[in-house]
Amino acid sequence: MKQSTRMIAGLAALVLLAMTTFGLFILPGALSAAEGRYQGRPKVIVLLKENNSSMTFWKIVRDGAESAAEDVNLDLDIRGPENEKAVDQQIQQLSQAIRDKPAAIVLAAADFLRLVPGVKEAVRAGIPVVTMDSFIASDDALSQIGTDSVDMGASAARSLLKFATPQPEVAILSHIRGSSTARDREKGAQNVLEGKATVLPVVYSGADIDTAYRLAKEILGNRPNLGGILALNEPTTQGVIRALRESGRADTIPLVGIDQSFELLKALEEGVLRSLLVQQPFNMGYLSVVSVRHLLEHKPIPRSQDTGSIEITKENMFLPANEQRLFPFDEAKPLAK
Amino acid sequence: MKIRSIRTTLILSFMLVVILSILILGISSSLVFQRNLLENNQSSTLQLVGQLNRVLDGYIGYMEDLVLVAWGNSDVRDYFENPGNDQVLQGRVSVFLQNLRAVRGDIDSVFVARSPGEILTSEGKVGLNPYLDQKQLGWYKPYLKAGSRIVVSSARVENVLANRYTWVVSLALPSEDQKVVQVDLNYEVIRDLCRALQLGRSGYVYIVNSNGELVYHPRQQLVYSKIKEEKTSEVLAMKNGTLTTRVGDRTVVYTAATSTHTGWTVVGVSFLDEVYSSSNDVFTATALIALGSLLVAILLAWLVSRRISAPIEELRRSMQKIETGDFEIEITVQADNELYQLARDCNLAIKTIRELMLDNEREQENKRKQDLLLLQSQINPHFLYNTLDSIVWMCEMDDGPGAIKMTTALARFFRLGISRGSDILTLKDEAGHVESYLQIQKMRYGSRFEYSIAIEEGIRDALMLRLLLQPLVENALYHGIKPKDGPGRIEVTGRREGSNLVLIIKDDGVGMSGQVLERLKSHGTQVHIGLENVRERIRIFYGLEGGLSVTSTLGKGTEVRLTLPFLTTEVA
Repeated sequence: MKQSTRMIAGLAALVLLAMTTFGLFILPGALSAAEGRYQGRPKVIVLLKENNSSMTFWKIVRDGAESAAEDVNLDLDIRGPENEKAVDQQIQQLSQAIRDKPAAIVLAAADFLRLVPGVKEAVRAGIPVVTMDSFIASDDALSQIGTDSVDMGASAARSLLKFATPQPEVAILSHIRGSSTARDREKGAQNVLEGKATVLPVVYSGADIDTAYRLAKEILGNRPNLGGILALNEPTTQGVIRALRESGRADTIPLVGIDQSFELLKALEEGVLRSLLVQQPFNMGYLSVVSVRHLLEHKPIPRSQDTGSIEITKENMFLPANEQRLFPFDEAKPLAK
Repeated sequence: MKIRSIRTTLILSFMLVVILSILILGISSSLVFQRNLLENNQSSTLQLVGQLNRVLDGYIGYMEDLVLVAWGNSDVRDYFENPGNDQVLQGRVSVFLQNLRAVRGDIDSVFVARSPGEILTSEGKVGLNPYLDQKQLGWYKPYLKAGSRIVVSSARVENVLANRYTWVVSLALPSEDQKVVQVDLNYEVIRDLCRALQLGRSGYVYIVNSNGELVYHPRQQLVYSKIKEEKTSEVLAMKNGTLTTRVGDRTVVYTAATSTHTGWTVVGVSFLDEVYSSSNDVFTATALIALGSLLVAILLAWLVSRRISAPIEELRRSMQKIETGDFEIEITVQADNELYQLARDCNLAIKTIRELMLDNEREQENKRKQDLLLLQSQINPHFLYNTLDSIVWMCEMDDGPGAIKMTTALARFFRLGISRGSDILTLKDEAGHVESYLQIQKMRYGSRFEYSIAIEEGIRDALMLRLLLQPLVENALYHGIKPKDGPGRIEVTGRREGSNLVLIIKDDGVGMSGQVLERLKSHGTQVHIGLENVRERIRIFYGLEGGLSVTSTLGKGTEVRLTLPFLTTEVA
């Protein structure tokens, strides 16, 4: 009996030793490994309107999204068609994204109506969707993150009125007839200009620099009393700048544009362009991804988040806050480790 | 009361001790660990931030030297001092600036300005920005401070050159008449230095100048858009050191180091939850060790309790047998501790009980025998015949009152003598019994003897074993008075002496020789069976020896003295 007791006591000591070793040395490693697997970064697919990185706007959106992914610990897979007009390609890419079963999808819809079925399918598959920049005609997307286009159009019009003489004759050059941003920006501008200016019928450039140039040249030729021009997107603004510079009437005809590019900033310094309404694509990309993280953590997110627009003039373009917006450097560049 | 077995109690208390000690140990070590983690983290972050600060100072210092070198260059001075349009001189200055820039790869450009419109740059072929705003060229004006001559900008976009916007940190040395030497340091240098410092999983470093403007921040746009919040004013107020504060839903540890040279504050930002994340591992490990210890403790408790409770169980079974009356058992316990001693003591106790029981049986037997003897002596047929004969004789003699008196005495004698039931009676009744006996004998023997019974006042209700006096009185009468020639006297006295009741039967009969007396004391003879019976009954009832003593002188008489405990009803 005594012998067996001693044996059991020895066994107990051995068990204790093993447990301690396990607890102190093996477990923490195993746990952190398990934690890595368990907390493994959820994959989120970001489907942009275009993904060939030529457009500064989408480059900054990507940059914002990637910064956020790093901050909130998500894995991003950024996709998108060749250009903004390739709606069919984006519809196809959305179905592929659903098949890839990500934790969530961020969509910058290339078309207001045609992406709705795809989003509905994603929701049925249990994949939450938030829309960014351009939205869809459905409540299935859990949040809309982007610039309030009506507000932006109104701000552009207000800016123009500052530079123009009272009751000016104003030409509005819009981009794509029927697109939601064109419609909303026009609406905002018209609301502000009503009663304060004579607004010429809106013309559409199709988001093409040359078309915009031709249209602007035509208007400048036909309208000797023209007192201001509103250009509602970046290529359109570029075309108008060229026409206005050629006409030599930049001093009397203030031009206000929308969205940013190197050329537009040069024109701003030059004085041909009086002001520019810029969106905040970095914040748009960043907030979309942060919203996805909140969704995955079952935190409430607002249905609609306006990232706002900023009026840039020659005077304020080199203020620190604006320098960062206008001349962004690649913030999400992987940190040296 | 609910009975809980020793084993359960042992296991529970073992568990309690283990759990408590592990808990205290675990919590205290976790706390110490967490504190150490925080302290280590803070000191290492402070070190890193301080280091970055010194590296930046070194950089800026070097660039300042370049600015001073440019100011000291004779061509540059010539250019500044001679307003003419000397193309050769301007070419020499440009080449000098170009060479100066080439010294280091991290210089973006160098230029000198004689007036807002007259600028020479290190980028010879690249033209100047035709739309350059004079205000832009004077960027340094808000930074001008008394004392320091060279101005260091925060991060800014340089637009002096045509079609080029570059992020730089500019160093300018302006003169009072707006002549400027400016070196633009490639911003990427500073950005990369800051990015190289990673604090935890998502911690970072940022730099702010003394005006509160960001020199570098990894999320600069978010800060300007107020999407991201930094407690920069608090950090600037602190200048150097550590600040732990809540930002949004996280606790942030700010570590700041401020350069007296540039006025820049390098701020390390780390998150407390990330600092503590490894302490969770320690906690889990502690919990597992606790679980293991608990298992071992239960095992040990089970073993120890088995060693204790098994013998106790054995003891309990033996005791149960004893309860049923079996005193013949011997407890055998297999243990080498106090329980063995306990079992041995139990065995001794059982043995003693067994002996006592035997003693008791013997005593009871003896008592019965003595009671029987007493009874026999009480209903002694000779006494009865003689007494009845005396009554008959008195009747024949027409002595009615005598017969009545004797019959009454006989009746009282028997009522008190052979009453069943209690062994004890009052002294009054005992005396009454003896008196009845003496009355009867007196009537038979007439003048042969006299008697007296004297009981002290106040003790007549004392209690005593019954029928102690009569056998002694009978002895005195038959063996003391009867053999004597002439009349005799029997005196019975009773008194209290302290806690004793003393009863004395004294006669003035023939007495006994010392020899006879010795024999009488050593063991009872057939003749003195009454004396022996009284002695034995006193022993059994009162549990005392020597309650009866006899003194006798031959020819003078005998005195028997009973010394009994004084009992009253209250005590009984």
